[in-house]
Amino acid sequence: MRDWHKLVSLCIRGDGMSLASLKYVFTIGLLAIIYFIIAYILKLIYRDVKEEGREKLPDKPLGLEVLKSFKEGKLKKGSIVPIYKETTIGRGKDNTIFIDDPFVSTKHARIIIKNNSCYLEDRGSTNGTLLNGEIVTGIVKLKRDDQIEIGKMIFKIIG
Amino acid sequence: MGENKQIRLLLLIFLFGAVGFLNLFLIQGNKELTPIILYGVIILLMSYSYFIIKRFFVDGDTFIFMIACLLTIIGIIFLYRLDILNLYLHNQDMLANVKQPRNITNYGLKQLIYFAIGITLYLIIIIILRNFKRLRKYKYIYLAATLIFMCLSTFFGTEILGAKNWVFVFGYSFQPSEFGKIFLVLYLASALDKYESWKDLIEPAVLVTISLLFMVLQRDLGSALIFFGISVTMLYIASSKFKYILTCLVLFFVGSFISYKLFYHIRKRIMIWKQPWAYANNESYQVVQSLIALGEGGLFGKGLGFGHPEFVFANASDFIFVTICEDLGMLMGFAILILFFILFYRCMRAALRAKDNFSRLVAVGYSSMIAAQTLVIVGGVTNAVPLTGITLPLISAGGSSLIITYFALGVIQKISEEGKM
Repeated sequence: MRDWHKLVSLCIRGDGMSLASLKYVFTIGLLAIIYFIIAYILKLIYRDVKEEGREKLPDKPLGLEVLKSFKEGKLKKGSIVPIYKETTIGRGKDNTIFIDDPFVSTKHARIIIKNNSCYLEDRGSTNGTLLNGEIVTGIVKLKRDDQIEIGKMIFKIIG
Repeated sequence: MGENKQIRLLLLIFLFGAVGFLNLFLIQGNKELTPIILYGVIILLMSYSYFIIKRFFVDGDTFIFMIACLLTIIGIIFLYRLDILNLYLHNQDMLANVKQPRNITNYGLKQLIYFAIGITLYLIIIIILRNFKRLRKYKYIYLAATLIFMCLSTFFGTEILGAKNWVFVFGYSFQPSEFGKIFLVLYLASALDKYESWKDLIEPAVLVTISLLFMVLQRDLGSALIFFGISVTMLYIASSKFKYILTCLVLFFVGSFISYKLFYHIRKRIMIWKQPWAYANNESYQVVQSLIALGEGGLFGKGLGFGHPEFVFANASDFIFVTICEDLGMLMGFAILILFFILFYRCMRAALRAKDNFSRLVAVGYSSMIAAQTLVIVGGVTNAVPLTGITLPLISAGGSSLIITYFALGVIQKISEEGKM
């Protein structure tokens, strides 16, 4: 190894030309690798673009169990609502979970899944959102078995 | 996207580094292990950061991190190659008893330290910034910070190479305009966020004009050009009105014409750009040497370590693109440009998918910052546009530039994560 090293450094100083062709090997190698990397990145990006439309489900699917409800309807006690990427809760009809309760604001709260964990955000509701009995401000992380209280409804995170 | 494929990409990048650093180890002519150590530290840093990103922040865009690291590795390889050359020249001068021997440099090691700081900052941003939208409230803090950084070197600056844009603090030197850029983008994003009519544009326009004036006073024309590029792009994204862009361009031409008449150094730059060969031994020496080096390199280059970057001025910072092209040919130059283009595409994609206007504007600002910088300096060294001294992002030697670029990319990475919400 040591002799080889000496030989190579000799050829680079111009004293021995026999091994100077090593530089072509390195040039071709470096260029080949970098263009291969570019091609590979483009391939991965192409695949990424193709899969854009599809919703990726989280590794561990989560759900909301209704613990307490104020009237019998679709959201009766014991029913389970799955949580998608973004689940909104409120009195407005465009929410994922829509609660017809005067104590609930039109855009009350939402549950987001990001980086495989679940977050609860209060969207400026009038009467607030309670998480395990405490008022939520901003975004908080949710754990399993947490209890969310909105108006007269109580939900539990299951998974 | 499969995790295996990403790890394969990471391994390919490591392979590139291995070949490059092995080449450096062989050409340095002594048995010092510095290239191997540099390579080892780079591998450790990259693997650790990749692990953190993949483990805790799955939703983010990993391509941004990968491409940025690949470009930095190319940079460190070539900076260490210049270290070897400078050591060799120093020894030659010592043997010949030259009065002022050429300096020994330590670009490679320094760049590695800046890379470590940059990547740490990148990770800190991803971990700490929980809710990026909240940052839009601090508009006037950004305004003040921009103004302070812009004027800092006018009053406390030291003149290096004709531009007064360096500030020395406790023995460390940095370029305030680099930090000014970061705050300018944040300020413009928070100011244009609630854009409704032209009245909202007066305050940002005044700030941009003041910044441009400071840059022209400091003779830092490259930064002025980049500020202008960033502001116009962000204005167009925020307002989507073509007449504003037209107004900006007209003002730009009027402003450049006035400064052309007023300042000698701008006239000189244009003169060099138009006729580089006529002044080859005096004013346009730098550009002509760079053009000769580009021609010497040709398509395939002379081999890593076999070019002659000692004739090229500022071969580690502004002209590093030429050093690379001379050694590994135009093909490597094209590869670097393609990589920058993919990086720009991924950053713009994060901007497109961002849910709120502020994040989108910040992402657009930072990605156009990187793109404008690349175009201006690569155009400059190939004499396609008048040469202005700025750094090639991620590759050039220079702490301020590298750290700032990693900061910007970290913010974009965070925004790309939000986009998937």
